[in-house]
Amino acid sequence: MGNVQLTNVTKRYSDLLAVDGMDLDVKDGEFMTFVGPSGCGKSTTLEMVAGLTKPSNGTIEIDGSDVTDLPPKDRGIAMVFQNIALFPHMDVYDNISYGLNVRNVDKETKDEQVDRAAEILQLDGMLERMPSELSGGQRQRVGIGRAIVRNPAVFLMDEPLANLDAKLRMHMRTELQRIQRDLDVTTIYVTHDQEEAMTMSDRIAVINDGELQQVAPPLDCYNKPANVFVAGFIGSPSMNFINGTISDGAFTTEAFDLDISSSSIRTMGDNDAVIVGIRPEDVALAGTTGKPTMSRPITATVDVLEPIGEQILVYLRTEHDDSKVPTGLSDATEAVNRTTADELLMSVAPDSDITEEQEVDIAFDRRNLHFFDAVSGDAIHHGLAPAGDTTAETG
Amino acid sequence: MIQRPQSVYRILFYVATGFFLVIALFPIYWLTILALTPSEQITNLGLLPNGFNPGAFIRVFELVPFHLYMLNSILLATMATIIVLLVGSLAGYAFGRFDFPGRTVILLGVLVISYFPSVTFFIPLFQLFTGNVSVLGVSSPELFNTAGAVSLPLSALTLPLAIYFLATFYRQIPDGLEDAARVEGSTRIGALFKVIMPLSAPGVATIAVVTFIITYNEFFFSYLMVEGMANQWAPIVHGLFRFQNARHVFYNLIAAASIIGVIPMAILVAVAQNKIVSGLTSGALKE
Amino acid sequence: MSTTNRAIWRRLYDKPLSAILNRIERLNDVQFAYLLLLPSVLLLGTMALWPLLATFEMSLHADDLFAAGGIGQFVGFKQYMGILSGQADDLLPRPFFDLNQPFTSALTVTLLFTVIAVAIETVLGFGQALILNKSFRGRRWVRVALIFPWAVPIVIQGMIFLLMFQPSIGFAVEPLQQLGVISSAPLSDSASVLFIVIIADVWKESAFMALLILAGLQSIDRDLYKVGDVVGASKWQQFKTITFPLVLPAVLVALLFRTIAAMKVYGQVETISNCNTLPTMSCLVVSTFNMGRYASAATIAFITAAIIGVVLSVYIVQFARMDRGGL
Repeated sequence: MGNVQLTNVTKRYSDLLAVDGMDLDVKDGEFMTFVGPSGCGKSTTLEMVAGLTKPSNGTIEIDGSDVTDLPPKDRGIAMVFQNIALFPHMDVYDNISYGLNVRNVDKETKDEQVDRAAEILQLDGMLERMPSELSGGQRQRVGIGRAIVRNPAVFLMDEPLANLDAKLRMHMRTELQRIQRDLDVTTIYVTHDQEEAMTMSDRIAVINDGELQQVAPPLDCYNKPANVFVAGFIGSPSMNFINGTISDGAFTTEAFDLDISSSSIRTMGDNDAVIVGIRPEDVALAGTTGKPTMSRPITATVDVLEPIGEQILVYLRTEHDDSKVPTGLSDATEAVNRTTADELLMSVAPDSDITEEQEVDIAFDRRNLHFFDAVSGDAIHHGLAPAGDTTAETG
Repeated sequence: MIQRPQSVYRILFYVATGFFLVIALFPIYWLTILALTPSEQITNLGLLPNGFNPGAFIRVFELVPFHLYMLNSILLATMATIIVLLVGSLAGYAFGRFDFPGRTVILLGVLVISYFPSVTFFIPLFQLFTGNVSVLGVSSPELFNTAGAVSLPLSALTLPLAIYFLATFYRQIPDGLEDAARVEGSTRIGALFKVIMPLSAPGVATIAVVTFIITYNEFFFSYLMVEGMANQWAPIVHGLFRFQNARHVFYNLIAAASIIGVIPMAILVAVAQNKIVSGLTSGALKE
Repeated sequence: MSTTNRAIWRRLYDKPLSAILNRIERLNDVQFAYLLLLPSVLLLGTMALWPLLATFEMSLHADDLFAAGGIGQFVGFKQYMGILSGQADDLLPRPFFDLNQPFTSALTVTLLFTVIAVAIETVLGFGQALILNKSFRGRRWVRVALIFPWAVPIVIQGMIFLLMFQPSIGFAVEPLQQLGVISSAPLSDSASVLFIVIIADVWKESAFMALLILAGLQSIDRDLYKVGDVVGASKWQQFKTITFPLVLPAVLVALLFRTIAAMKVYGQVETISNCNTLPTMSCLVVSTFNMGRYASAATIAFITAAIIGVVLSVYIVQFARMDRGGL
């Protein structure tokens, strides 16, 4: 079928570098998702794979042959668009068979193909309806049907669920995964929704500012983010970031110190500009988890409580010492939703007994701490071993 | 091979564009040639001016007070535009955001008026403006040869479409904004002029520009409702006819006056072309 | 003194005004809507509805050149009969309908003008709109140039083509005469004037067509063309299956507007030649009025409106059919 290979693919508009030297290998049958904030270049990249936009540089191969200069129709691709783009003046049958009509396929094959698509998509009995008579989900399925009948080597989907309401979106997510698994077709899917990317994909490609940040299976991006951007983008609510310094086997921030000597000192030499990342779910009330991996407790004050159902988000203020604020910050950290130590987000179980303005002791799960170089933004180390028996963690 | 159809389309595109540009602009070039050629040398002109006489552009104002005709045209169009915007906004607001008995029937009735040719209104209006109609023994005011005789009928004839467009624009504004304004202490009418109109400013601007262009360009009432003297509100229609009806016809002056008369429109189109197109797109076709 | 004075003035001035505003605030929605319509009703009532009814009333009377107001006794639809049957031709400056003289009877001239001019304008306007809908460098100025003729005042439009076809100076006259398209005195020969007025109208109104069709093109979802590209539809196939069916309603609206306007043509004729040489329907009303035959003029005006109404209803039926067809 079709693997897709991008080599140094670049798109430059007069004064804007939309996509910058993208190298990517999408394997045959894989569900690959391009995810990133709006304007990051993910849709442009997809349009270049489709052939709707011509790359300024680089090559695109589909199924081993160079398609960089081929028109879309000769690439063996099919595409589903964000606003679905059904022809308002054609019924469902004509919409699905549009691509076949263009190629003058005979009526019999056309019927066969449309029926097959209608069956997969559960659209039987609706072939004579006009798009205006369909619900949002049905319209979306017709759009996919139009892609299926072409028997493409690669499916390209540009935010196909963005215009649906939340409930339908959840439903269509599973639908899409089922269809993709049944057809076993390589799929490139574009979205700005990290949750969509996490739940649907075999691998995700996180893109920012036209550059590839990380390509990995969803959980790897979550557990081992390659840099500050990925760490902040993947996961909701966003990771806490705190600036600090490393020296003499200890990580020091304005609010607390961590002993890092036992496990990772070799990968983390002295550095006066480090960011530690802690997910809200890895912050807990001290003594409540029973895990041996928790750090020594620190004291904080509850600022605001946000119960959201299955958990409560707790905004915390910590005591801090301004003299310890590290100096070497860089632009790489500016793009991130960075918090300082005096505002920390924790998520706790909904039955936790906690009130606003209460003073609490909190601790971090050492296994899930992420260290980044504040200058380059790149990850230095993920996870610390439990604190040594003999070493105290406070400064 | 694959590139070929692309370049054929491109060549076709440039040829067509060039063709339309020449058609659209050639008449103006022709006027310029005529205007620059001295009057006595205008015979069997080719496609270049025969001599160079920019003085025609000044002579235009000496022979006939063409600047006054221009001013009249601009003032008349401005008056009609203001009337249409004020009156049309109120009605467009009613049609666009209220539901009342007879709404559709009244709107259709208003639109039907715009289909009648000017000649079906002309005779009674002429009599009305010349004081030949009396109501309860009081004869009508003599508006003939005044601004009202031209701008009032023109406002009435452009009003229906303006109402239709403005209703469409106002309908597109989210519900409840007037309520918010009234809660904040604004009056009902105030909410229309301070909240709704500014929010549909692009649409209102389009209507203003189009109304101005239509009324400045109008012929029928501009020609028949005034006698033709510059001090009696006669617009450029009469200004240009005076060059033609002079004892000796100066073709170069007609050309020069035509160029001058078209300048306000050229400026308006250059400035507002985007508004005109987008206004028509969102106003006419989003029903 | 001045303060008390001002206070009195303010009370005199403010009270009725705020009383009115208060009344307005207390109206219910329906009453308020009617109030908003009042100015329009007044303006349209005096400037359009009343003249329309008065004209109709006039058309039911006989001409009387000596009576007060020029209107004779009530004769019902007799005037209509006379004008449509040709019996009144001797009293009119030009006949209303006479197939023996197609270039000098009002209905034939108007229909010839309308059909030919609007057909050409539709084709040219469509072409222009297709170009203006593309994005290319300098589109802004091409757009300005192509829209420009629409904004040229009718009298100047007339003057341009008067000058272009003036035998002594116009470059176009000689070649066209040799081709037999126009006569040796093109500005006073009915067929030639019809030709020139059509050319003038096409020049100006193609731009209007283009504007409306462009508005239609711009409301087509651009992603539909991406769908076409992906499945390999050629530009022509895309035009046939996407552009044309989707822009058709806008084209019909443009056609409707233009047809109605073309059937009212007057100013171009009056500028380029005169109403005697090319008696369009509107022209005939004015020249009959100028003869003092007010009632006959009113009758012709109403026949004109009726004929335009027939054309209008043909379009409306067409729209209704398309609506049912799901377009």
